[in-house]
Parts: sequence; C-alpha cells; structure tokens
Amino acid sequence: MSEGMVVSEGRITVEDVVCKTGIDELDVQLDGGIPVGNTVLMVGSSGSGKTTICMQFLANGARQGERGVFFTITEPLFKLTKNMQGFDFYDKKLIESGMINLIDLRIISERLGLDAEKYTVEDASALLEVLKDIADELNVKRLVIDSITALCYRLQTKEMIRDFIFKLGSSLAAMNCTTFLTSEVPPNEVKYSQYDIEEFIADGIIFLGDVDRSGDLIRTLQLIKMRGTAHSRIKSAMSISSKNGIELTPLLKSRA
Amino acid sequence: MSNDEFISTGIDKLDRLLEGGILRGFTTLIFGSPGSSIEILSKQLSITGSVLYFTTEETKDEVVKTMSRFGWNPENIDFVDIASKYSQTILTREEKRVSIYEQRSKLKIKELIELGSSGMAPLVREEEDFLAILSNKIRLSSFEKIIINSLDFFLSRYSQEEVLRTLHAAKINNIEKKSVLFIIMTRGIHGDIFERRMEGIADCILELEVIQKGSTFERFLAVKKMRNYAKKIGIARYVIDSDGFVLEMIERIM
Repeated sequence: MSEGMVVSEGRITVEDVVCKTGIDELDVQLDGGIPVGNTVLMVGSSGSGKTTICMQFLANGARQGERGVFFTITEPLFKLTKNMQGFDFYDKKLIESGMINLIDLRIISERLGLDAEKYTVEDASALLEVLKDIADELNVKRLVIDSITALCYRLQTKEMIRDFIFKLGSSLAAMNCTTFLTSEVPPNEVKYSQYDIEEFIADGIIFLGDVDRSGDLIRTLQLIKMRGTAHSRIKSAMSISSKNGIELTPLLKSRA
Repeated sequence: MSNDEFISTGIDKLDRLLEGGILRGFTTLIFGSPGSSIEILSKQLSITGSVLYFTTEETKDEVVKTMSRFGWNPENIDFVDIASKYSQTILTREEKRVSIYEQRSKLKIKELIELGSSGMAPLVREEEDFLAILSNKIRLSSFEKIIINSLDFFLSRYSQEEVLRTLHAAKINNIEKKSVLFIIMTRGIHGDIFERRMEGIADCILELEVIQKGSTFERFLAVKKMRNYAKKIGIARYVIDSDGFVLEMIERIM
C-alpha cells in the first residue's frame, strides 16, 4: 500500500461514504444516509410527495456544499419553482448561486433533435452522453430525474430501459453522484415501476404510499431496498409542511 | 344514374349486382388483398357523383395520372392528399435529423445547460394529426361519396380504438348527410377481432379475392353483407381491362 493511499484513507469521513438526505428520520432509517453513488427509485402515485422529497434532498445537499441538478420532464421550470416557494427549505439563492440547477430535459432533448415520441438506440445514447456531460460540467454530487417513467416511455424496449438506467447509474456512481429517479405508479398498487425494469436496476427503492385510517388517508414512506446499508423496513407516516418540508413519524398501529 | 334512394357505384354491372347501387347513408367496407386491383376499384368508384377522396398511399397526382389512363375525369373529386402531407413530414423530419446529427458534436454543454435552465419547452407535434383531418373533413363534407383509401394508413399510426371512434362518428355523419361512405382496408393484417368489429360497423361489405387456378388467377368480387337486403348477396368474377373493372358471371347466393 502506498503512502498516498494511506493518507487519503485517513481522510475518509462519514460524508464520503453516505449521502445524507437531510430528512433526519429518513437518514436514521438509512443507517446514516444513502451510500454515495447509489441510484434510488422514488416511487409513488401522483401527489405522493416524490418531487418535494427530491427537492429537499437537493436543498439539503446544497447547504452542505454539494451541488445538485434537477432534470424535469413532467413539469415546466416555472411551475416547479412556484411549487417550491412555499417551503422553508427552498431558497432562491440556492438556484441563483448555481448550487441547485433546474433543467428542463425537454428543452435539451429538443436541442438534440430528440423530439420524437420514441427514441432510437442512438437517441438514447446521445441523451445519456449529455446527461453525463452536464453532471460532469456542473460537478454535481446529487442528481434527480423527475420522472424516469416519462423517460422510459420514450425508450422502446425493456432492454433499452435497462441499458439506459444501468449506464446512467454507473457513470454517475463513478462521479460519486447520488441519484434519485422518480417513478410514477397508479395509486393503491404495490408496484415499484411502470415498466417492471427500473426497480431491478436501482440500488434503492423508497416507496411513498397511503394508508387508510378510519377514512382518513395518511401518507406513508417505506424503504424497500437500499444496497449497502442495514436499513429499516418500517412503514412511517409522512407529513409535508411548509415549515419543515418532509417529516417522518412512526406509524401508530391501531385497529381500524 | 342514381335514383333518390341509391347512389351509383360508378360501375354499371356492380350497380346491377347491388340492384341499384348503394343505399344512401350506407357505410361500405371493401376488403382487398395485394394484386386484387383494389386501387383501380377505389378510383373507379369515384368517377360518378361528387366525391371526397382520402388518398394515403398514392399522392393526388399519382391518382389523377392513373385515372386519366383509364379516361376517367377527376374533376368531380375533392382530394385529401394525406400521402403528400405524410411524405413531406417524413422528409422534413429526416432533414432535421441529419442537421441535428451534424450539430450534435458542436453543441456546447454550457450553452445546453443555459438553455435548459431557462424558458419553456417547445410544444412539439411530431406530425399532423391525420385522424383529426379525416374526422373533420367528413364532418364538414357535403359530398355524395366519401372514399377512404385506405384505412391501413390510419391503423398503422393510431390505436384501433381511436380509429373505430372516428369511424363511428363518420358513419353517423354519413347517415345524416345521406351520402355513401367507402372504407378500404387490407384483409388479414389488423387482426380478426378488429375485422369483425369493422364488419359490424359496415352496412355493406365487398371483398376482392384473387384465387390461383393452375397458371391463371381468377378474381372475384363478393358482396358479403348488405344490411336488410339479404338477396343482394352475391359474387361476380371480374377482369380489368382498359375501362377498369368488368364484372362477368354474376351469381346470387340467396
């Protein structure tokens, strides 16, 4: 072992190996945080809080000096910022200073000539290259694609989806960039992805759902899978408030 | 040519086989197969009456050229040239693809980030909504005959459900306007269930069949369904000569 390596090894801190989401209870459940470089699928139906968690993840990172990028496919930029303005974790300065970059992937795609309904293999690899180049150029440590479902829709076969997510995940991991991919599923369905592929490629799955408690719907969050951690698998109640953003509390078991 | 109740097909002997022509308000489904000269039939159907003609495989110019070869006058026909529109879309798209391919390597990642972080995504429509054109033209039509040649084009681009919905609307329109609607499609490529459903929509079904007998081909035009006129069901052998379809040996099934 060379001396150089010993020195660098000596500098390794918790922050180098895990990426803290900044949502305290979630980090506890994750046994510290998400292993750096993991690709995590954030699964939920519409309105389940996927986008908010991802934004909070980026904002928390930015405050610790980790640059992030949010690729939106489903929502235009102005809507995204408008929805975030209500949250205390959101700060316009994070965007102005370039710590969080919001990028409309449709504009990029259009520029690349990828405005067709279906991507060819070449289209997909061109897009992949650009995503990597952007992540590299901005030197981001946290990346979000909202949603991967919308992207997979354009990839014509399961092999293309598999290839795309796998290559994206591995190149981002090489940059020590931790990735959230949001996955849209129909409500009340225990399914982690639309195309049944995404969940196998991802290193982690966070499932956002609902439970019915005497007629009231309670938001829930559950860690289904996270490679490289001894994580909890309990289902927690999740609340979204403008002051604290995402908060998790134990889901009280009760007889309905 | 046509009395109040019927509209002539434009082919005398076919009118005779159908005992007067096609009843106003009827939707006629014509099944063709490769080599059955369905393209000639669809043109010949449009030589009488005022006609709205959707052409998806051949451009208007090609249709007119073929018609003039048979000495048929296309003046009474209003063409909806989907074939030309479609090929233009293809060409534009390919041109764009090539130019973007050339540019891709020159794209600066910083510029891309800049672009992607500001502004709105363009609303891109890959191509014209041909089914909407079809639907709208039929809705506004005041023609005696409407010919869709062929449905195959729409079925290759839209779901069967979408196409059926449009056809149901077209059928209702056709009844209200007391016109006749001809829909041409190829047998055997859209699935049995879809064919059955189309047969359900149609008031009249014609089918062109080519049967190989030894070293020759025999061609038959069959009337397979005629709503409320069961006795009109029959079959005729046909040949194509310089005047187009010539029906011979009419046989009644019932």
